[in-house]
Amino acid sequence: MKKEQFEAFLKANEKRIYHYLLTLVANDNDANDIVQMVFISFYEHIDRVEEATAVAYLYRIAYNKSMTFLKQKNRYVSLDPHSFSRLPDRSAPEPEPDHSALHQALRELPPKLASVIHLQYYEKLSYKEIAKKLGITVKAVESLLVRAKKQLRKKLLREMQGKGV
Amino acid sequence: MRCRAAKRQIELKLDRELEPGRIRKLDQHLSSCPACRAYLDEGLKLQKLLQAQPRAEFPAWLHHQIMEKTARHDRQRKQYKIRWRLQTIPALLVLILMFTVGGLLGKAAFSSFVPFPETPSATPSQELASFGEVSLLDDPNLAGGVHE
Repeated sequence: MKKEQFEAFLKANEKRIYHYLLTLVANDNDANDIVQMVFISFYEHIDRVEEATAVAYLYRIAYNKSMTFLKQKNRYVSLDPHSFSRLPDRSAPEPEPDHSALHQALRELPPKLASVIHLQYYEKLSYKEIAKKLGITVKAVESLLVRAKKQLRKKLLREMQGKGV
Repeated sequence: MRCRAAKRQIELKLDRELEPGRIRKLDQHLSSCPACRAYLDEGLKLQKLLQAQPRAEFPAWLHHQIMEKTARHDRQRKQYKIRWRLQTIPALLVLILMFTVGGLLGKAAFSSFVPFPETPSATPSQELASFGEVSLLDDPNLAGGVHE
């Protein structure tokens, strides 16, 4: 890809990556920071990115950056608990019991599986469109979705059964 | 139809990707398989949960912030390239100068040094005489030979 194509690419993908990051970090402020890191990192390597697999690459960067961010954030909080204990935690999201379990389950999905789930349920794309976006075959999309839903079923529905839903 | 194949087709059916010809066969299987019916119900619950995710608004200022950062990144790379050239070119010039001057000085030093005379100017006995020694060969009386 060329640098001149970056802005159009950003416009086409910023919302989906932002939403994906929100499911991973469940926090607006963190998602705002990470989405910038993701797109800057993508821009730095844009010359080496193929157009066909650019979206898949972007999801991978988003996943890696958010995992690094969460690890560092947890490390930082655990090192200095006393100074921050009195501060109001404005970054904490509103309690949403249903979606927190979903977000946790989505966070545990590998980026490849999470990206197909995200493209199907957030973007409402067909298998063919997802395959084109990620640069893979329709059969591959089918397999990935089956695997992703299998994992989500195990985690989410077990919890739902536990709660009596 | 086996349950393993039916489960895969249930996923396709939920995503509305199942071919119409296969839907009827799947429905026939579901009518006689409670396990697969339970699987379908679970799939519907999961689908409902995934579709109910709230859609967050993307802040417009983020787009401008990202574009600004990429422009800053380009400027910094340009400055780095200029700085690198400004440092490298003088260093290369100094190296070339050193080799040139060193070569010239070396040539001058070697050309003034003459280890051996170019042509023999005197006979060996004359050379020895100049050092104060006389050869036996020079004095016929001492040599003991007959000179004719």
